[in-house]
Amino acid sequence: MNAQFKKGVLELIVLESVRKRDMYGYELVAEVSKVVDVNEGTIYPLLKRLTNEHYFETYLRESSEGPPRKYYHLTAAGVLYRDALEAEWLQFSQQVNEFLQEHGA
Amino acid sequence: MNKEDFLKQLQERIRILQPSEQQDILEEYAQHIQMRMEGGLSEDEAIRDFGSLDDLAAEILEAYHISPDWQSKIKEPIAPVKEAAIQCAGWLERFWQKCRAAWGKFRKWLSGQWQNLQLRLKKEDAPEQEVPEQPKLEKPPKQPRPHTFWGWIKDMNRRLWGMIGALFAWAIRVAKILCRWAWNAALLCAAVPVVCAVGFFLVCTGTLVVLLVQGYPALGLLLGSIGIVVCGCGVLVFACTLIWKKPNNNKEVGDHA
Repeated sequence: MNAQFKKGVLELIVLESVRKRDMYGYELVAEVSKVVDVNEGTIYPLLKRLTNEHYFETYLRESSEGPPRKYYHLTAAGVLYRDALEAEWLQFSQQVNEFLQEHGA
Repeated sequence: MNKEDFLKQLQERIRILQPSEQQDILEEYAQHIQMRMEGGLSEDEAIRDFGSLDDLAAEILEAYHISPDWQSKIKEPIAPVKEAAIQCAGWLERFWQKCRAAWGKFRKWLSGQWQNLQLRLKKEDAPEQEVPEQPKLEKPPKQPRPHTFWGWIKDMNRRLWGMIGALFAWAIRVAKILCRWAWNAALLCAAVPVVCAVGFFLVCTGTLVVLLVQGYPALGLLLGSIGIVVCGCGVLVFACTLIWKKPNNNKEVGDHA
């Protein structure tokens, strides 16, 4: 898949993944990897950026195996941002689809 | 690449961030690698999945609105200069030790040659010195010399040659001393301007180092002046080896003999 496509949509997928329940880094990466084939290393910087922009909150929780894990939680601002992104994405994909269909017909 | 190397190199690239942030990021990646390994991947494979370290670091830095080439934009003139100075010092020390070893060998060789020469001279001198002694020993039997004119002539002849030999030896000695003085004086005269030049260029080097640290493009001039200083020192050291010292190792020669 086109790298530019991925980059634009990745944010939405990450935000959506965390919306239902809080996740720790590796879990989140695994979840996102199910949807798009992406370099796992690039998701952490994205999480970092969204955290810096206050769309995520993080907290540590002990785990039964290994060191404590850092969990990501979507903030209210994050939810709003996710909704805005979703709306943008739907509009955009609809426009592109319509365009393709018109040309195809 | 193993985990340690990966984390170390990553930290090197993001060291502009606050230490707590660096720690946070590195822990996240360490944990990720750990979990991938628990999932059955090898350490190397887990790290290879991250792709290029530079790209990864660039993306992390982007989250903080930091340009990925921040390292080239930060002026750190002191660090490289310091590093270079430490390296230079180590190199100079090694060079100095080598020089000393070589100089010791050269001196040993030179003194060996000198002693050989002295021994040879002594051997050559020895028969000459014995010559004037011989007539003394022969003096008692020389009493009948006035009787034979031929004997007198022979005696005179021997004495004359003895005197000429002694005179010649003296002349050579004096000439040697004079030559030595003249040679050393000439060396000193030649050394004075070199010493002045070395001093001047040492001052220049110091000034240029300061200018360079301040950011002036004086590297070429600095290298040139360092070159001149090193050359000057080399010439001076070479000149030191050319000093004609007073040969006062007769005792040693005597011991050897």
